[in-house]
Amino acid sequence: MNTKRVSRRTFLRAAGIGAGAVALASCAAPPPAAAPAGQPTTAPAAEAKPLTFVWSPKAVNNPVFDVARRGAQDKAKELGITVEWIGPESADAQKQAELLDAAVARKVDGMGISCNDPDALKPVIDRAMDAGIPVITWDSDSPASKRITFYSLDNEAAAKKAGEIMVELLKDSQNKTYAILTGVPGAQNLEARIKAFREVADPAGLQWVATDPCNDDIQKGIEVVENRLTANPDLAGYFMAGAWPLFGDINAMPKFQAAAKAGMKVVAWDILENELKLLKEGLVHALIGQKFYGWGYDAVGILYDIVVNKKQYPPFVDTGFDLVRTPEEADVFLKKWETGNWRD
Amino acid sequence: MSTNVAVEGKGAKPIAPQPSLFRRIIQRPETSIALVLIVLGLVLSQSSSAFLTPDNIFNILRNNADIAIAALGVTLVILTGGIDLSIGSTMAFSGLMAAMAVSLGGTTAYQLPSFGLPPAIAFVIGVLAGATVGLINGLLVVRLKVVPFIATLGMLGVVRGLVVGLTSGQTVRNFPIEFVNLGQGYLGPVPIPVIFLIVLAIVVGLFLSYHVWGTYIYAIGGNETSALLTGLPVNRVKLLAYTMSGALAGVGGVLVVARLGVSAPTQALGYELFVIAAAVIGGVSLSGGRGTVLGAVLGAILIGVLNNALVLLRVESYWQQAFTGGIILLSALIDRLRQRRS
Repeated sequence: MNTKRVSRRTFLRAAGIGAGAVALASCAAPPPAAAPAGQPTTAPAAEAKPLTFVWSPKAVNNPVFDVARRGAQDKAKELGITVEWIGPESADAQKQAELLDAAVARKVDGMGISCNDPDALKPVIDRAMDAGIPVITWDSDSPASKRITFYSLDNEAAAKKAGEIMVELLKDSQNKTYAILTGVPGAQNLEARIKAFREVADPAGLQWVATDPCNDDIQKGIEVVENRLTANPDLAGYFMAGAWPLFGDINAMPKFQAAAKAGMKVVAWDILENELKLLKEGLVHALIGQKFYGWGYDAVGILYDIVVNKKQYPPFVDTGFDLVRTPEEADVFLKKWETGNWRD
Repeated sequence: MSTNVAVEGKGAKPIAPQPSLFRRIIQRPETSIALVLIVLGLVLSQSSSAFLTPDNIFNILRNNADIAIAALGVTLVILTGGIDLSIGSTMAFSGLMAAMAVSLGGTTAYQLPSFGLPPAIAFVIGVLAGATVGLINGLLVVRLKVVPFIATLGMLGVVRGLVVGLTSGQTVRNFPIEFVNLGQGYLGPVPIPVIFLIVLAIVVGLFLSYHVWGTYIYAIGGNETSALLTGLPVNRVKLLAYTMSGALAGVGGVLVVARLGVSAPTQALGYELFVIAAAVIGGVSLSGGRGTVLGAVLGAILIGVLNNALVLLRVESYWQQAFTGGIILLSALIDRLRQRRS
């Protein structure tokens, strides 16, 4: 027992020295483009320590972030690095900052963050950058922080496009009323989407009725939409700044279903499997797709470029967005959900 | 001795000199919330013709049946002087277990295991999963003497973590129509979840009023020491209360999954507060021993009507929480005034 403990301690010490040596070496010489994985070595302590990035979603209870996680892991495998997926269980800025603080203390090699709150995450991002840990943000930014770049779609541009589509969908309709569904009131990306959408829709003659929050909750989203259609049964359009109620079964929203069948036009964010099916059924008319997989796959590549290849990036990298309006386009993305292959 | 405590606790059974009907109504803990509901209903029916329609009322009831059913369970726990904070997590866990049991599998690359079991069996699995969480809560409280607040707070985290861990954020869907009908179907004009609520409320109400263990629950919450001294099976009664709370949360959780047609790891996140609030604004005393099933159900309905009102009255998003909180405070205030009068 005793000898075993001693030997383990010796081993750990050797490993520590080894890792330190590798770290020093990697400061002096440019590190290899892709660390060869699984090369046979006699002493594990001498093996080159692979780069470790921490990738942090707003929450781990959300399917779109699971797609991002798979993207990050696929890229990590290609590059021969390690990506740790660390995020709060549910969207919670304070919890996220705490988790990332621990990662900074561990001196990881880089971080990619989807920020729950721009200000709440700023201190930890700045601490990381000051400690020499490069940070990029994706999906949701902290613009005032020292992060190197932000990888996302342009919420404003995409929402303006959504507004234009709604105007076009309702151009022959006498009734121009529409409602907006949002998640948590005050969330930066959602507020930007609503603002940009209304900046296009309202001057074009569409009549805004209400903006209802559902606190990012599927059940609540369904309740809110049904209540809205009770109050305004003749809505001509619905803009959903997030897809919450569309996660569920459409039959859970009889009023929504009836209204959509009677000609209500629906433009919604995201391209989840269920939404794509609804679009094919003609109950949803346009979807704005974010690059979930790219949040992991492409953004890990960007950070790797920054850390290893010392590449420069502008403060904002626009991912663009996917616009889905026809059944054929929906099929393309349904296929991606089915196969899990988002790369082409 | 024990019956004395129970009668005092409920304040419903006739006591020696028969008080007037008005006094008896005023003394009932549900009275204040019923008043608030009536006033709110009047205001709403004046400001929106859509409110007082059978369609809208059944909609409100169906949307909140899960909260009401879970509130029945937490009422039992609160009556013993305890608390159950794990309800939201339990609802999600039960829903997930039932969903995986009944799901026919899906078409994405992110599929969780699904077993295609018959809906009735899936329903039972979901409820048993909830009862198991409740039983663990009960054992923590009764055997290990952990304070209920901490025991169930711990389980809130453990069970939610289990749900998120098992799903890694993905949803489970694609259920057979018989299962979905549990949440979406109707019996005549009445949504099936509402039927569940009515039946369970009657069962739990009868249990509390007429079953000897029901009266023990009031006795323990009224005064645990004297209940112990009288020789009541305090621990077993508490264990039963927590297990029933878990099982009823399970029923609510499974019904929601059936209604939404999807089990998501975010299901019922934070709903323990709505459920406990439903019971408490319905007159269930957090210090135990006082309160009724009817009150808890009315409390849940008030929460549903409030959500409906926010939309019908076009309360601005940013102000909705303040509005809801204000009405809850108002009903608590009316309750205080009522108690002072009686």
